[in-house]
Amino acid sequence: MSLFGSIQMGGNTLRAMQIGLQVVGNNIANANTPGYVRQEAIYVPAPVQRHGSLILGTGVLVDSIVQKIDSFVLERLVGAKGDRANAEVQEEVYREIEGILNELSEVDLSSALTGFFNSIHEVMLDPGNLATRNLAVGAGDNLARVIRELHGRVFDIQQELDQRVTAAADEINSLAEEIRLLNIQISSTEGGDTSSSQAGGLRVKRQGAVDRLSELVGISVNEQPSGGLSVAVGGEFLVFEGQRREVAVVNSSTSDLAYGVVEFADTHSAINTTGGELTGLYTARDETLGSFLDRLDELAGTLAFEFNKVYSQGQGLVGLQQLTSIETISDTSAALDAAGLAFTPISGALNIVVSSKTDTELTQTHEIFIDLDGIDQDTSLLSLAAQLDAIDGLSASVSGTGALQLSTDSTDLEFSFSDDTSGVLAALGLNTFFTGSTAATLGVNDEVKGIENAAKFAASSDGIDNGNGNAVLLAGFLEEPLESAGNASLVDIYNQLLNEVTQGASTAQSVAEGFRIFEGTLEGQRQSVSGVSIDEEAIKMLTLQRIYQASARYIQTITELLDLLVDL
Amino acid sequence: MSRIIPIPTTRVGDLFIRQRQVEQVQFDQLALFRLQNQISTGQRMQLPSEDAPAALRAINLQRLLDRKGQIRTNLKASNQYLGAAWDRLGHVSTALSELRGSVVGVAGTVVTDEARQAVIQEVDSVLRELVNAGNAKYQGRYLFAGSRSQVQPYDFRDEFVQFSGNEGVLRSFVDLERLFDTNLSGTEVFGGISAAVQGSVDLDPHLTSRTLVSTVNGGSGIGSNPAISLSINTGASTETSIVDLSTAVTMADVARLIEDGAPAGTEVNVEITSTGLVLRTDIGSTISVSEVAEGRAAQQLGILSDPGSNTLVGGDLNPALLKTTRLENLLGKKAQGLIESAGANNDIVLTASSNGVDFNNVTVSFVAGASESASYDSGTNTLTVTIRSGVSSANEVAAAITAEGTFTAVADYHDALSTVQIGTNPVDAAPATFANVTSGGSGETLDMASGLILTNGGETVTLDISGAETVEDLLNLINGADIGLVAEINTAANGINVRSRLSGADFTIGENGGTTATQLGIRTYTGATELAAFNRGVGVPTANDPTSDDLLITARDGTTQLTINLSTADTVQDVIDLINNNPANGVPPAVEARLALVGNGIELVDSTVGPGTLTVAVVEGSQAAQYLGFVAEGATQSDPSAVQVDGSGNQVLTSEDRHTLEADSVFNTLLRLRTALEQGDVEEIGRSLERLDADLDRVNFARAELGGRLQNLAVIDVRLQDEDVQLRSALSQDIDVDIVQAISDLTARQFAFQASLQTTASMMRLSLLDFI
Repeated sequence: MSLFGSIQMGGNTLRAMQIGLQVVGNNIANANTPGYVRQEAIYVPAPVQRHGSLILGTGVLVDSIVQKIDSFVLERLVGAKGDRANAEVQEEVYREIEGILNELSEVDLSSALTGFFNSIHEVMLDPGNLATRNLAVGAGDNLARVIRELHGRVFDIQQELDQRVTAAADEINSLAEEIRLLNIQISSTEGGDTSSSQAGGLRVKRQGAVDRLSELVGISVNEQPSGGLSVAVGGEFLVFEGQRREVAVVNSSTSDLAYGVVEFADTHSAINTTGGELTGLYTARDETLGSFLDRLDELAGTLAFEFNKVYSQGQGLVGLQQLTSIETISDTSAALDAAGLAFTPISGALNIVVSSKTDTELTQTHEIFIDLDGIDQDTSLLSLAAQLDAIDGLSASVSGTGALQLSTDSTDLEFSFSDDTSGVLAALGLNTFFTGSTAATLGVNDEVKGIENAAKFAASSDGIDNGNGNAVLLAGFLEEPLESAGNASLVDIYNQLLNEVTQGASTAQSVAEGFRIFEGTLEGQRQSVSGVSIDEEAIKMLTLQRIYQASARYIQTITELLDLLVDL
Repeated sequence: MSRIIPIPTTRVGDLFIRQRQVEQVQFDQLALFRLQNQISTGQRMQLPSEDAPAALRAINLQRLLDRKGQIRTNLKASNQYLGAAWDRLGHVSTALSELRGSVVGVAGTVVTDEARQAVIQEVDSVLRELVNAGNAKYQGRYLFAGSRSQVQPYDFRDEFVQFSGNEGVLRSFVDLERLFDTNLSGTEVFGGISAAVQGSVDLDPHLTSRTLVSTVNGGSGIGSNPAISLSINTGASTETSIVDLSTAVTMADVARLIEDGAPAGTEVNVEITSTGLVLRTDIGSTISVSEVAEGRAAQQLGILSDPGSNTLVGGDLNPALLKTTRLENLLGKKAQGLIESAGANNDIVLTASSNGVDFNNVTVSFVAGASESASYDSGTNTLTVTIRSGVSSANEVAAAITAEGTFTAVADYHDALSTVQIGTNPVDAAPATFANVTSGGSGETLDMASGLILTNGGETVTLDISGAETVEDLLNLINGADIGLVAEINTAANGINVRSRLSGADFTIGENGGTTATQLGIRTYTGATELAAFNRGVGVPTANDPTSDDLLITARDGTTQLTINLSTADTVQDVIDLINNNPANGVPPAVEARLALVGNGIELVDSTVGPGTLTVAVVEGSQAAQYLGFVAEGATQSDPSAVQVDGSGNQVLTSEDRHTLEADSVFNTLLRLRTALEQGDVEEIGRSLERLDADLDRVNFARAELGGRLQNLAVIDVRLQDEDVQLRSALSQDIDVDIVQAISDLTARQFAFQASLQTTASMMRLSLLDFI
């Protein structure tokens, strides 16, 4: 080897160390960059030269710059991120429901519920007092409002989650496009040599997109020989090297309300994912909140129907002179149990008592039969109206909208109901307290609102202005086993709702925490391989510097040798 | 402490270290803030999910405390109502005791008018005071009005006192499942409603197709979710089916459900008779009904039976008497039968409109004519129906029969091929005769034509009940007569009670020439009436010597003289029998004794002929003639002008009704006492004193009852207070923060946080670069 060759070798070494220092510098610069994968310059001996019988080395070469990465850990991290994101949505939603329910405070549904029934106790204590009756109506109105608001707030969250599904679909498309473009750039940059992962910056950027995508939706990732990634969701490819598929949100018609579902735009097949934020959104929207709203509807429906069944058989301080059913029926000749009423009456009978306003003890009791056994002609709204209309002193008809209208034939007459074993009064909304059948529609009948109507509150069970028998039944209703609810009481139903939310929230927190720890562990493992240690880089830097200095001295030495030769 | 995440064993990067340090700082700050929040709110949880089991317990405890809080409010209010009543009764008791002392002073025979007048004024004063006390109000609620707390319970009506409240109670919860009576009806304190006039007559309502299932068996129904097991043995095999009767509302529903639920390949026909069900299957088969599992529906429907024949006759289902029960469906039974024409859709069910055997075995004859009509000949017991031969449908024929009135007829659905075809086919062509169609008729029909005579407080009302259709109509007629009577269905739901709410007044119910009152069991003067109850409990005093006679009845022929010894007579019927069976009276008796046809009393019908007048004379030594009401007080024989002549020319003498009823109340006692004082009736004053003692006892007993309840409430209140403490303690354990624990945790965490910050800062300061 000539002296010039030696100088060349030393120069090569200086260049190699400069590259090494650049890599170190890049690592130090990105020491705080999330997702950054530290790089390392790989040095190899330069090709040898035969010099006579000797074979001499020619210095060092930078073979490649590689990312320090554990692909196995990375793969598991992708799954863990999806699980964590899924669980965190659940956790977040449960926390919101808990916040809305606001239990353990003085302004929760539980307080409204007991407040209402406590107000009926007051009526029971002093049935002749219009103010206490009005108070009970007000407390019922407040309870209905609390339930409606609760429904409204939870429904809003449901809507918000639905919007997040749409946003998630947009983001999936955006990330898929980013990965697709980066795939192309990485392939062209690295020229198909994946062993060196030369396009470190691009790969970090792509990994960032993959990480975020994995948070959104459960994915599986495979790196192709070209360096491009293939990303699959539920077994179907979302990105394949330089190609990708578009996803879109379509409204599902499976529930009462149309909710968005993300599907592949080309095949219209729904994305089948078991992890990620999207799964969390689906679960929270359709199951967690859906189940909560179902329970709330069950609570409201049971309250409305079962309470009304008792209430409707009572009598107020005054009788009724005009009454129109709250519910309407479109097919007025259909059997009442097949007429589409929110609450279904059964075979039974009821008494309607027509009395004189001046002497309420002179009564005419009429049995009304509700035949719904499916054998003969079952009772329809029209036939019920006909039965009622046949009563002396009472007129009954069905309005154009399908409502049952009752009125006395004389201002001296009034009427009341009792002993309804069919539930038809509650089902039709005749002489009822609550209106509506769901949490969203629960309300209090206008017929009893206002001090002028307070006397109509049906506190008696032995006749108009006679005792507090019905108030006693209503006051004890909260804990009364209900056959329609499998002998559970209203308070049991509410407790179940609370149990589900509380246990669900507690479980969601535990699950999310578990996934966070798991992800943290994997992240630790990932960073133990890929993370930058400044101290470590400093050592490398010193080493490279020293080699650089030694090489420079080597060149100086060769130069001095050359100078000697020249000076000869 | 931060969540524990494993630290990599090989190397760590700077970013990882910083991320973990930041997380730890955030976690520590969060924990510190949570502790601060716990200490400031006193509550260890902000959200139930932080400790789900404890939170759920706490929510239930909070609700329970709210409910118990209301319960304690109820208890206080109940205490106030009962306490107010108790206070009022203290004054009443004192007033009555003082009055009693005054009355004792004038109970003797040697009393001046002035002294009596003074006591009369005192009686008036006490009466007013008692009426005021009876109308006592507390917080707008009448304390003694029963369940009608807004109705003034007592008021003067002419010279009487009327009670307008009822015997109901107002109840309130004094614990979650404990109801407590928060009032005492005036009837339990002062009285005000008479004992019920309840006859021994079971009105025995008929079972009909419209009878509610819930009202059979005296109103106890047939239980919830009823079902029966129906078996038909055809000879070749036994087929069984389970019939679910849970949707049955009326007996017609029961019949249809059983018929529809017959085992496959068999047919069952169910007839509803006036008493129960009759199940029939094909001749040659046997039918039996058993219970399903542990049910009792078959027994309660009266059809539980082993296999016997093809006909199963069920037991008496004894429907309860309801306000809606039709009067025509009381007492006896109606004859029923089937007019069977050849073919389908043309049979007719025939039911007599009235009870009785007269309508059994009726012959139905179809004769040809231009239109449908019917006539009934009671002499031949034949129902002749004119039909358009071969044209008139069963529905048209049934309508004609019903229009005639003696029977009601409907087309038989059993014979129909479909619901819409019921009765649409022509009946057998005329002439056609159906013999012995009906059976099962028995008993009597309620006399609707005669009506009742009601008397109360000197007011008499003759009640025409011919327009009444239901029991409620009848009750309304009595209640609406406005003479202070209360009519209601008895608690056994098989008869009617009539009571008076007018204190100080005499009350009777008699016949108006018929049998209505007797049939309804509400006549106050019957053969079974005990003589001891006459004259407001004084009875009918007979001669001291039991061998002496008490009455001398002389017929108008002057020769028929009956001497009656009433020493053995206990009831009105005994008196009647002693007169009718008197040896001097002959057979049939010349002077027949019987219950008065109009009103009440014993009626003597003299069928002898002569110039004289039927008389009842006092026998020396006996007051029976006067106390039976034949002879006026002070007279020796009956008033000749009281003798009337009936349509047959017989002389009729009717005794005055001395079996009057009255409302048992302190007002009644005082009003009677007042009258006795005015009349100087020493014996009545003495009896009134005894009643006054009973009234005083009743008031004192009521006061003691109120006192007992108040004491009971006090005990409950103490228990509720204890419970409240326990519940709050339990709630506190679940929800309240342990302040000592929280502050010590806070301090520990502060130190830990401080140490963590120091070590973090130290670590971040360390770098190799500092040593280059």
